[in-house]
Amino acid sequence: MSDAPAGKLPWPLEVTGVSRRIGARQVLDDVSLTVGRGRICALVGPNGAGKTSLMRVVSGRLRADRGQVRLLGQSIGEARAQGALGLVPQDLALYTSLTIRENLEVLGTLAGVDRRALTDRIRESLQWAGLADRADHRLSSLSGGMKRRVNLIAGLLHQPSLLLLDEPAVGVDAASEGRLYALLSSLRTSGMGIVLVTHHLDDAAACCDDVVVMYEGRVVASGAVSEVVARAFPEGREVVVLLAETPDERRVSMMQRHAFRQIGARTWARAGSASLADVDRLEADWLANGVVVAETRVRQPSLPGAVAVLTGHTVGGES
Amino acid sequence: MRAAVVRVLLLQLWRDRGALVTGFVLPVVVFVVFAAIFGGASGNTLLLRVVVADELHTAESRRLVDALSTLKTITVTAQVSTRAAAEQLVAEGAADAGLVLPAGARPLTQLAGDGEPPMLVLTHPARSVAGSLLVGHVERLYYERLPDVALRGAVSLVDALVVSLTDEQKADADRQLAAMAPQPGELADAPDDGTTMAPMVAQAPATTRGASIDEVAYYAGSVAILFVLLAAVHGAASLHDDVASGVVDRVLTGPATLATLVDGRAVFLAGQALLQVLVIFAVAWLAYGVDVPARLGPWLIVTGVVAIASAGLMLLVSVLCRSAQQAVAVSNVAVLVVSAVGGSMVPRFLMPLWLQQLGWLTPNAWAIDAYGAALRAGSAWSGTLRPSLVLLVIGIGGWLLARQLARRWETR
Repeated sequence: MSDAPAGKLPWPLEVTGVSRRIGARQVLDDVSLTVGRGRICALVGPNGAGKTSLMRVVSGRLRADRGQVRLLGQSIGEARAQGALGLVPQDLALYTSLTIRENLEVLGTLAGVDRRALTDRIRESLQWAGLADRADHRLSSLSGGMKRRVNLIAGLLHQPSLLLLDEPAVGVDAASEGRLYALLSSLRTSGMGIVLVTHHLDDAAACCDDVVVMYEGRVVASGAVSEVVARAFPEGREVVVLLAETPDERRVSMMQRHAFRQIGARTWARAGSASLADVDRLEADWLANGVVVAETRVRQPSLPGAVAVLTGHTVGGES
Repeated sequence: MRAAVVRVLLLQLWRDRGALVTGFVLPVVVFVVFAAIFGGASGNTLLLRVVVADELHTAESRRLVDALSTLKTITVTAQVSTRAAAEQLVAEGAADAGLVLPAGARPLTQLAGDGEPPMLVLTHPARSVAGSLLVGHVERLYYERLPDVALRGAVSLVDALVVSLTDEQKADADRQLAAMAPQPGELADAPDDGTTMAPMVAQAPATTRGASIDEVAYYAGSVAILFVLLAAVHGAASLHDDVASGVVDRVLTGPATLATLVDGRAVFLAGQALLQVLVIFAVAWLAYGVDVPARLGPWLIVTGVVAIASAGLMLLVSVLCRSAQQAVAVSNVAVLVVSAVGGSMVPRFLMPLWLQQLGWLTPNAWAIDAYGAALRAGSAWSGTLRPSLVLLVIGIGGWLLARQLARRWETR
């Protein structure tokens, strides 16, 4: 999926044939993936696809029934002991009554960072994240975007080889989200492998090198973003129609029968072999059923569209 | 790493004024109130409000009422004419108890025989101790302030049951007894001229120590264990906050384990408990004369094991729960129940035997017992060993179990 390990260095993350059943549900089914050095891998899919379960297996919080997880060629326990793994949870895993600096000192210590090194790393991290002038402010006084940045750098203090991020930008405005993804992109140069669980597929496409699409516990597609998109749209295009009116339930069923998916109230898209000629052929049928097409166009397919095609579910909104 | 956990909890406590007041000011206030109520109060210092209904209207009954009015510990709030009126005032709470000298009852001079007793004390179920105190006061006044009346009864008793007196002897006794009756204005001072009966019961302190120091020490210990347990509730429950916020997820990706988080909390809770106990006993020493410095060794041992017991026990209760909310609710209820049963709210000797026995299942009873043994002057250090050992087992056992149970959050 990503570049081969440099020389003999092992992958930051190598997951091989991991399965896990919880109760009657197979939450992970023969999942395999690798994350290379300096690569950002987006783990995407609809709710219940198994993304969080996979993250929990990788972080050692959920046992796999079968398969193997190796971090830098080591077991999870060994990697944890050496501080090779970093986590940025979806919730703000911070203490709100403490200042930024106090939070980082405490969490850095718990991550096993030496006291003297910690002071330097906190200073550097705060400058990197643009929070140096807020270091002694309590977390409760910060904006949502700032808290998210603190949440991010708290997972980096011990300089892990693999960083897991679960929806790191949830609940922040677009500007803060952009800033956060820019920070993430800049981490590539450190050689760190990054796994990002997100529903923001446009951001994932912009910032990530690789994508793993999951559905019902399985990996349905993986590779570079362009490869995954190409797999969903082999002809490299997507036909989008804008209907004159919002269709009722019966007409929605008809559109779905014709392999179109709804991406807006009146906007429908079709993947794969669809062409304008196909649409022309279908339009007569639609008209007979009271569906009027206001506009038809062909566009460059996107990752959100690809995920929708591959899983049958729209993730995080599609435009 | 454990120090980092302690630091978080310390900073959170320091910045939470409500928790500081609850943990360090409220215990002192409650201790002072308890010490004032139970330690400094006795039957001789409680001020009773009494309503009197003299239905007899005899010279003797008036003398008894007048004598009652002169007592410094009793305030006769009302004198009414009927028992019903007195009952109403007691029922309404206008008086703590009532004294009725009922019409138709035996005369005050008749110690034996048929008929209702000549003095009736009215009580209210909510203030029954006031009735008992009034009974004691009235009996004492009868013999001390109305000795002629009491002896007249005794003479008639002798005449009836022991030896028949001649008319001359009876007349002579009447004269002598009439001469014993105090003159108006003499009532304020208790007769002490040898004409009254000598008291049959004397009271003496069993210890040379200051008044009620043991009671104060009892309450210092009982309030200390109550608030040490209460203050530990939030610190112990904060483990659930760390689980819910993702701090545990984050921490467990590194070398730290859940045992690190549990251990750090145990150290913090024990330290917090030590500080709380120190504050309470400092007040007991400086304000009430409980001689802690003279018994510093045993006191330190007991305080140490109380701190360990509270930390271990509350961590265990918290880890057994599923959320911070549940942990706080369950822990608060548990602390209040064990404190009530264990003697932190009411002295254990006032409890029925079965409740006293049940109390040994609580850390409170052992802590109170341990502090009693530690602070009682002249008592051997060895008296603290058994309760201290029990508290140590509670603490270490609770901590180890909490450590083990918390591991369920590590890996599923």
